[in-house]
Amino acid sequence: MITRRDFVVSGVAFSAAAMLPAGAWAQNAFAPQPGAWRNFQVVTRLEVAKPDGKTDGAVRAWVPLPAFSEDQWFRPGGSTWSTNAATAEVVGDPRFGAQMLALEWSAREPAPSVEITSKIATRDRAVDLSKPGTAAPLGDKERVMFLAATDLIPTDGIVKQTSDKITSGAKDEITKVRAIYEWIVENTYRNAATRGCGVGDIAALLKSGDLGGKCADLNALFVGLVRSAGIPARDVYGLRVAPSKFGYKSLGANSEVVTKAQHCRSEVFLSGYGWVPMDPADVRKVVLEEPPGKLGIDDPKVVAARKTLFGAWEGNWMAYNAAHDVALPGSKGPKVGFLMYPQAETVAGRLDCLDPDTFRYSIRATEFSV
Amino acid sequence: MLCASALLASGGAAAQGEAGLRLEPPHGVLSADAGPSALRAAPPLALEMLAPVGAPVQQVDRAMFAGRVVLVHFFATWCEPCREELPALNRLAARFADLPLTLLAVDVGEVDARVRRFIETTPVAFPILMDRERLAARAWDVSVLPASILVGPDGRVRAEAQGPVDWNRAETDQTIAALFASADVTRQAQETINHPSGGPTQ
Repeated sequence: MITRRDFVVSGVAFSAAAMLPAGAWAQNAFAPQPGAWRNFQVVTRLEVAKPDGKTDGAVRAWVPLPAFSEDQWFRPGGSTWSTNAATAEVVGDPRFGAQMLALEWSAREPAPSVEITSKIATRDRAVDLSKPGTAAPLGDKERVMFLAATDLIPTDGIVKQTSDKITSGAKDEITKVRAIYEWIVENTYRNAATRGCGVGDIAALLKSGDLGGKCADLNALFVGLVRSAGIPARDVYGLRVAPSKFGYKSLGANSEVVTKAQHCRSEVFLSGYGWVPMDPADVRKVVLEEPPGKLGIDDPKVVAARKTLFGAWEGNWMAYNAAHDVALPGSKGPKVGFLMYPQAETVAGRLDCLDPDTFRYSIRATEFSV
Repeated sequence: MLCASALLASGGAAAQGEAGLRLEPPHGVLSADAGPSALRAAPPLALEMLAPVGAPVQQVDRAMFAGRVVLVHFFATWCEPCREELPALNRLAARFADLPLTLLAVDVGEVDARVRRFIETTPVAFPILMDRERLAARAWDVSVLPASILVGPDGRVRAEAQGPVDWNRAETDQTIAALFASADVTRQAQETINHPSGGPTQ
């Protein structure tokens, strides 16, 4: 047995929960549908503090840009910036196409800073999996890319064994993916103590038998299990930019300040349907954080989220990229498992992107009309 | 990488059998019975040592300590049991200061800046090696933090624990002392354990 939690017979638990009465829960039905586009301006301001007493050495930074492009639901509108850096250029990750603004300040610059303004347009997504789809197949290159293992998402060993066990008996893609989705919802939990969005080391997660984490852990586990089943999947790393119009406090940015609103979602490529949005990690977020908190798995809010997030996303979120194992150009430091936070290096080495005392950044998101 | 605090909170005994760990809640013993992996050759360990800002970076290789008993301790600053163990490891290092024991702490998957800030408030008496890309943790098959692996003078794994260890227990000292290659050194270690000059170990 791989973990101490019981495997769920796919579909059964979900079906039983879905039949529960909605009760007195009064909010809009959680039913995102493609409709009007929403436009957002996102301003990222970064200040790199030099180590105490150290004024020597160049400073570098790499800031992710929202360059993900999917014509049906996400359109990047470009980025502009102002900075006192000696050089600033947009560079791309050669494998996944993630874009970042790479900056370098001279040693003489006492207060390195940059402010980046990005514009994006996005909208709700929903894929109707009850009817046959007509989407074009995934290209060979992308299929290989999104079936492949990454440093932190292996597709062999315990990940493959777990995936095989979960999908045992499932005949088709949708049934397999549904089984994995339900397994994630039933067997993982959101751990509030996890730093940032988590590390995403899914083999360690499974080996430990303790399946707690945040989105970069839980959705990475989902992606790894799906890839291990031979179905292309990917994490998309991004940022919540607006409250949920469906009343989920836990699933939206509830302030213009979104500095800590990073969130990754996941997609699975299903034959005939194309990339299908999913987010089992957000189901666990609803369980833990949706007021009054620590909801039961059969709470109507959880039931609705669980049903909806298999095939739909709300367009209150911005996508940076779907990249893994990203080398930062010009850095002698390690690759980052994913590029969702600004990164910087000084004479002290790579800074802690989750430490606001040494590496100050703020992100503000505002919606605007065109 | 998971931290053992959650395992303990949810029942370390359950994790013991299913995940192949030898963890005895609330604090395990560094057992000389290291299970099926006992006596395997210890993997290589060559990492940069954490250094002050601007100081030259030193590469540390476990092979530098051939003939000594080496305790390799994997940790991370975000891991609560790891933070609790470091002061006890300081005391262990002090008890064995005159004996051929080398303690190497390996920080897993964190940036230097964070570890430097951490040791400002939790100083340690042994080198901290930086496993920035988790390659060493993988090579040593570490999946839960903290994890401690005791390597004998012959370079073979003699004991290990994935999860917290009570470093103040006499049994732990005995396990380490038994590994010294020289009978004289082992005897010296036993005398040190039985008649500590540095006061109580708690």
